[in-house]
Amino acid sequence: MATIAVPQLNKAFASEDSFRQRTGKDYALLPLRFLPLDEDRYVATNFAGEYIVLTRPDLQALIRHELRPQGGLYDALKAKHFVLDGDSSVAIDLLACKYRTKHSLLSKLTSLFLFVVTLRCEHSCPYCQVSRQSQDRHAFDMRRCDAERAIDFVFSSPSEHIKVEFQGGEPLLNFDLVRWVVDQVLERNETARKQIAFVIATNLALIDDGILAFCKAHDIFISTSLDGPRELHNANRPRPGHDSYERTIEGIAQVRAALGADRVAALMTTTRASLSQPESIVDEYVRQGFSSLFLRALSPFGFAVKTGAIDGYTIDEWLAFYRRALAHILRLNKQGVAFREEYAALLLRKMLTPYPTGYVDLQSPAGIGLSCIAFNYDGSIYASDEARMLAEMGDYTFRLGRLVSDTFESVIGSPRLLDCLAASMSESAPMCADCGVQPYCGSDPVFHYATQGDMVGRKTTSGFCRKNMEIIKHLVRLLEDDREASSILRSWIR
Amino acid sequence: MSAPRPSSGPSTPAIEFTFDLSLYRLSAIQKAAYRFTGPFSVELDRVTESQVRVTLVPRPGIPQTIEPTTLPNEVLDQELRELVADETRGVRELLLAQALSNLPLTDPVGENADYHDDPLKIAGTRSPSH
Repeated sequence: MATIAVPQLNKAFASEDSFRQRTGKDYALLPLRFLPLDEDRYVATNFAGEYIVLTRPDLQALIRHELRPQGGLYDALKAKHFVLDGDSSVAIDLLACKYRTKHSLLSKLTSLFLFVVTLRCEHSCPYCQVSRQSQDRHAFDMRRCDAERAIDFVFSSPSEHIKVEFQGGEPLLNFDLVRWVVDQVLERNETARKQIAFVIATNLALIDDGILAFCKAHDIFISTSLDGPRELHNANRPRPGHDSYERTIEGIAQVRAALGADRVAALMTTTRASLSQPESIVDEYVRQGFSSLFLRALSPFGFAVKTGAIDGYTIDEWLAFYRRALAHILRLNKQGVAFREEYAALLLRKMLTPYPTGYVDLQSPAGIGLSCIAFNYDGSIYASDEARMLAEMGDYTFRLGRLVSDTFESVIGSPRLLDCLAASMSESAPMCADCGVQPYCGSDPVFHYATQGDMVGRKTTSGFCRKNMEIIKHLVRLLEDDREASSILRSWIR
Repeated sequence: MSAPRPSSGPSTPAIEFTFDLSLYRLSAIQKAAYRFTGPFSVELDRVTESQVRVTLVPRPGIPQTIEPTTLPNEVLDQELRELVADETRGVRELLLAQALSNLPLTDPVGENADYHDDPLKIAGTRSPSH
């Protein structure tokens, strides 16, 4: 019988004995951050954002090189790249690879482009800071010449994946321009060959068969607003006829019938009236056949909140609402209803996978400009949706330029954007720099500028910091302490 | 560290802590104190050559209490963070360079090679026993 040469592991791999004969304190620390989780425990994260929960004595022993290397804790810390010893030099390469993967979107540059095709809207939601109840198309609609320049801008991005999202006001009030932009983008893409996706953010009140046929022909996704049950939704979102809820529900049914069940998603905004009924909001989404819900707080710098047009609330009140809603969603899952909360799902993806999310607010540097650009109806260019909303209140700090005179290169390389991005590096921000949940959190210079007058922000009084820190710690506790919840939460990661 | 004690009248019951600089770094004390700047106005001053006093004054309209162990534990945490930062500064820079440059820095031979060439001699040859 012929001898066949087969690969054999040589001494590049340690023998079994070497794993049994560790020398004790001979380990090196790898970069790590930590944060108290509760009275007795800490959550620690490694350089790439993997976490482990430790008791205070164990954390001290780890950092003071007093950890016994025989135990399961040492093995877990080594496997998760918190420590390095003689037989684990590959950790550096693996960590660097994971870190690079986590930040891979940075090299792709902007992929989400918001076209604010009109500020006009037939709703008059008190929490909206931009819409106008005007019939004056010339004053508040985007002009075709600006839309054409915006398309040039879009195709200057090096990103292979482009998402064009139509915003308002109510974009269906200027659907002619939506139709024109979609046609132009697809025509341009015959040579550019990028992956293009379209989204219309609409309240659905004005949807009709013609619009649906166009959406079907061009594979357009619909994003709508549903704040909860009829009474709550209609109170939050007034329109002539007081029938916003009925029109939204009917519109969702029409979209599903025409485009497919998975071609419409909904967002909610929490008002003070929502705070007492998280369960009924979740139940409404389940009843309407949605498989998920994105729990969103009011924009804290909203015109309506600042002028007292509606009652605001504290971030702690919203967190109590969020925890109740999440608990209810987990209960439903335990009863066999597959349903997820999208903000938790985004955070869990950051916490439990090496992959990035692209979510603008959960990135360092922030996603403004880098992940998202907003073209306002008047031809001005903003770093994000919130940035153009701030402008409607008279503050143009985050205006990056104008379509008539600026290019992709001049905007992306502008000192104004670069200064914002530098201020948004949480790796160097006070308190963030050594925060245990820094890899999962982000930075929102628009939020901090609007609420504190400073883009870096003082995290000791920041609602953004408190919201994210508390939600992340809540998720860690669920993952660690509730086996059934942990299994459900892990199933939400996409 | 000395026990915390109220330092003034009933309207502003400030709380003082004193830390020994031979036990804690000034930077650790500063970072720990910063974390209390939300509910408190924080003052740091040097009492002696080797002692720093941290005074927490509740901000008007925000009634605040603080457990006697809260700030000292935070200083201990910050001291641990300083230890981690000191020990891992070099490897952190190496990791960032390795992750964000296109150059193989930790193992230029192994990372550039074709696995068929096996320059690290990971695989050898042997005759199967059967």
